[in-house]
Order: sequence, then structure tokens, then C-alpha cells
Amino acid sequence: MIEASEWAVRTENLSYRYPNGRLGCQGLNLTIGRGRVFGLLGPNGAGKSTLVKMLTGLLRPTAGRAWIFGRPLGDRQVRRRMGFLPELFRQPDWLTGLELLRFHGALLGLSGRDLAQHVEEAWNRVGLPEEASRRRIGTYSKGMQQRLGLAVALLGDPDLLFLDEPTSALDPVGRRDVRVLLGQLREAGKTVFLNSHLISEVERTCDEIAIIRGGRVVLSGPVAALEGDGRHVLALVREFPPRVQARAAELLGPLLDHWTVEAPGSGTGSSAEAGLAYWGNEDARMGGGLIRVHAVLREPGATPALARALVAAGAALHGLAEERRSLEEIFMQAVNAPVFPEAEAQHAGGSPAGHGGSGEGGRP
Amino acid sequence: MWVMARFVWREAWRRRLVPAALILAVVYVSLFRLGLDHLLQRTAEGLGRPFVRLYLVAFMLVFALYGASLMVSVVTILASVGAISGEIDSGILQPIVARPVRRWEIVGGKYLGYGALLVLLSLTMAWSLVVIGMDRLGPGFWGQVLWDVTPSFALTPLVVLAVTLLGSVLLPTLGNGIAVFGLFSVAFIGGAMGQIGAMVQNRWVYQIGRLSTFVLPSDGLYWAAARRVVETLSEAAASGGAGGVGPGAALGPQGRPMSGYDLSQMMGPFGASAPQPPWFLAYAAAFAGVVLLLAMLAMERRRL
Repeated sequence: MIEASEWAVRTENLSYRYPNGRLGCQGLNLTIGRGRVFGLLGPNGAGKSTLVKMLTGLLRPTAGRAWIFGRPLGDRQVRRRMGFLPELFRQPDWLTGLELLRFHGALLGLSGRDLAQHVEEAWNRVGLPEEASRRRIGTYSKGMQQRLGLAVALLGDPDLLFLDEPTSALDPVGRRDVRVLLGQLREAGKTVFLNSHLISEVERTCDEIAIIRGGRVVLSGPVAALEGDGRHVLALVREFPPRVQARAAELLGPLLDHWTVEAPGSGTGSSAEAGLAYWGNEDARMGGGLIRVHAVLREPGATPALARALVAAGAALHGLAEERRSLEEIFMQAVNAPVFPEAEAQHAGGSPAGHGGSGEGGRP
Repeated sequence: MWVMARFVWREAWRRRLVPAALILAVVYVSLFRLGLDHLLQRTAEGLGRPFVRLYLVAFMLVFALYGASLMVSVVTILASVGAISGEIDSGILQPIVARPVRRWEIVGGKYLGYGALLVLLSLTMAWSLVVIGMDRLGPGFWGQVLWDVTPSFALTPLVVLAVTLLGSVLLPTLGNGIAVFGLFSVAFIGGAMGQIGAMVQNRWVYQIGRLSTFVLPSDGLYWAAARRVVETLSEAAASGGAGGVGPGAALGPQGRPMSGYDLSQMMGPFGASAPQPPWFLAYAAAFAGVVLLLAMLAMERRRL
């Protein structure tokens, strides 16, 4: 449990219902620690932007409460410490880049030398060329406008940044620059709330994530812990008849949540398989001859117990490794994404061997 | 609020709203001057009667003020129809609202910014027309006629602006344009109906027209100004103070002393036969204030 003085954002049953009755967010409970880079993931229409809009004061929650730096939403003092880059925005194209930053600086209450200094800092930080500062924004490329939006968000050296799809209009160089910037912000002790569709971006930059679907948080936690939580283990065995399965499950007892058994030749190229292959297990690389047991344990650190149980039950154990899931796998599992029709058709028409040997078992 | 007002001024200048409005005003006033001079020249040659000069100046001035009032209202609507809704749709407003500003200050700043520019345009047009018209009657009562038009022409853009801003908070830009032009048309037709009703002494038409001026007081403001201008000109002429027109202007077409009523009747619907209640200006100011307040309150609840 994070102490109140250590969190930047906290929500308690935060909900938003649109006038047409549709729920944007329902009962969201989130705590984001200070100095953390937090990523919000979710499919389209999950409620990500609704949440960001509530936290930045664009929408008023219809139920629940939220605090930023210990102050309720909408507090003007807190807003001075916030920067915001919306997902869909357009800058006033009749202003120059410099005028836009000065305007936002004035809204922050900055003036004189202080204003000039903050404007210069924000401008230089996003890598915009000097010559563009006195050009009308209407002449900027999409990428330059996105960088300018970032500069607006960074103005005034905020302690908390809400970035809604910050790399959407950027080229690969721009995306790398944003990653570097996020790293600098983390080092400077700033809190970043990153809303993105790009899982790889979130995976590379965020300390913690939350996945929301249908307006509810379905999974949250530190990225490292979610990806390699020590509870998912791949075992390669020569044979795994029901008798051996039942005995192994009995030996593991409450340590086992469930396992999935895959027939030989159905390797998925998971990180655990790659790891086993790296250490010389050719069966894992080729995916041939061995049965894959994907065990989900109730507690991390129970891998040795799994190994002992499998051997004791009579399974010929050829390899064992903790599975490290990619964030994409975690995301897909969490949102239970529907299979595309064409993929479904392929599966239906494929070899029964691909599925025939698969099954779930060992649920104690 | 001042930051937002300056933002509006810069936008108005950069988007060429100010130069376009100024050019329009110059063209309009020049046209009035040319037309009036031509008419006076031709009439002086043909009739040479002083009361005709007074009648022509009064008619042309009141008519030109009518056009100016219409133009100011239309420019106000066009300039501010998307002041809030357009900026929400384009995403300009979202980063601004997230700043430590109160939402009502954004509406207030927009009102201040657009209001100052539009009042300047309105008064520049009205005063230019008055100065040109009064110059053709000689010195003597410019000041009074300038004062007659000032409150109405200062309030007209403020009233229309408040309604347009409220619509811009509540409705999408297109819907707001349709709604405000609809209201404006009701006031416009109603105002004309009220004058015609008074002229032909049809009480029902007069009352309907009068009621409509309370829905949107922009048209009523014009008629209030027109009435005062006609009265001032008649009284000044009757007292022999019409400068170049001279005491002869005091005599109407039948050779009897001329009153405000005579001149008003001679000018047809532009004679502003239907007087507005004495508190109409106060009503219009209060109307603008209340509508602006509603716009600010609506903005506080607006989903962005």
C-alpha cells in the first residue's frame, strides 16, 4: 500500500456515464506512485480517454472520487503542476510556436523573465528547430505540431504529465525522442500518465500499467512483475498420460492453479521455449517430440516443487523454464480479444493434431 | 480573462477579421456619403425646400443605421458562432481548459475580446454615418444625435454576442448558427412588423412585433436609436437649430410647424413610429448580462 504522500494520482470508484446512458468508466480504482511512468492500455472504446479527460478536468465524474497530489480533481493549484497533451488536438494555426507557448505560460501565471525562460526550456526540450519558433503553426508538419503539443505540456516544468497518444504523429526518430524524454522525466522524479495504443511503447517506457476494458480495470501492476511473475512455467515432457497428470496434480496440491497440455509440434515460440533452446534444448527449438505443459502456479517460486512433482509422478522431464510473457500476450489475455474471422477459419480448417493433443487439466 | 481576450484579439487580427470588417465599414460609409450627396444635390436643384433636405438626411441616416445594425449583428454572429464549439471540435480548447483557469473565465475572456472589437466596429460605423449625415445639415446638434445612437449601437453587438456565445457552449457550430440566425430573423421580422403595425395603427401586429423585440433585443435597440434620432432632428429643426437647413426646416410640407410625429410619419416604417419603453436599453443590457451568465454556467458543465 502506497502512503498518501507517495502517490500522485488516486481514484476511488471513479465512474463516468455519458448522457446517452453509456458507461465510459465504472468504478475505477487506481493508485499511481510519484515519480512513476504509468501506462494505460485498453482496446478502442475501453474508456482510456474518458479517464484521462476526468483526471485533467475536461469531464466531471458522475460517481466516485479522485485526487491528484492529495487534492481533489479540479483544484487550481494542482493544475499548475500538471501538463496535458490530448489525443486529438489542433494548435491555433494563426499563432507562431513561440506565441502559443507564451499564451500557455500566461495561463499558468508566468510572466516576464520567468515566462521567457520556461518557454525556451520547453521549446528546446522537444527538439524543435529554432527557426520554427517565429513561424505560424499552420506551416508546421504534423510531427512538428505533435512536438509543439509536447512542449505545451512540458511548459512550467510540471510534476505530473498526462500524455494521450504522444507518438501518434511522430516518425521513428520522434518516437525514440519521446522515449528518451520519458526517461529524462522519470530521472527528474516526474510522474507520467501515458495513454497509448502502442503496447511496445508502453512496454519499453512504463514502470507500471493498467489495462482497462469496458470501463473497468482488468489488470494492473508493475510491468516487470506482470511479464515475468514466476507463476507461469513451461515443462517439456516425453509422455504425460492422464494417470501421470493426476498424480502430479495431487502432489502439487494447492500450489497448482491449472495447466495446459500441448501436443508435440505445437510450439508457440514463447520466451520460455526460446530460453530452453538457447541452453541447448533442440527439442524446444524444433518443437518436435515433446509435450508442452504450461503450468500456472498459485504462487511465484513454486517451480522446484513443480519439477519434483512431475518427476515423482513419473513424467520424463526434459526441460523446465519460467515463462516470461510479453506485454502483448498479457494484454490480449486481459482483454480477451476476439479472434479475427479469417484466423478462426484457419484454425477450424487446420490439422486436428494442432488441437487434438491440447487440453486443460490438473485443476486441483 | 485578459489573457483570453488578448488571444481573441490576436486571432481576429491574424485571421483578417479586423481588416475585413474595417474595409466593409469604409465601403459602406463611403457608399452612404456618395448616395446622400448625390440625392441632396439633385433634390436641391429640383425642389429647394429646406424640409426636404431635412427629410432626406433623416431618412437616409436612419436607413443607413438600419443597414449598419444588421451588418454588425451578422458580423457578430459569424465571428463568434464557433468561439467555443469550434475550438472544442478542433481540440484547441482542451489543453486550455486543463490549465489553472476557471471555465467561466474562458467565456468571459472571449466575450471581452470579441465584445471590444465589435463595439468598436459598431460605434465607428454608427458615428461615421451620423457625422456625415449631420454635416449635410450644418453644425448644431451633432452631439445629441451621436448620443442618441451610442447606447443602442454599443449594446447591439453585446446582446448578439452573448446569445451566440451561449449557443456556442450548448450547441455544435452549425446548429448554433442556425439557432442564432433564426432568433435574429424573428427579432428582425418582429421589429419591422411592430413599426408597420404602429404606422397603419394595427394594434395586434404592433403588439406581436413588440413582443418579438424582447426575444432578442438587437432589433429593438435599433428602433430605439432611430426613434431618438428622428425626434432630435425634428425638435432641432423646429427650434431653428438645424444649421444649414435653417428655421425654414421647421415648416413641414403643408407649411405648418413640424413635429417629431410628422417626420416619423413621412419616413414610413423607418420613422420608428412605435416607441420602445423607456427602460428598453436597461432591459437589453440586463438581457446581455443574464445570457452571458448562463453561457458561463453552461460552460462549467460542458463536456469536452
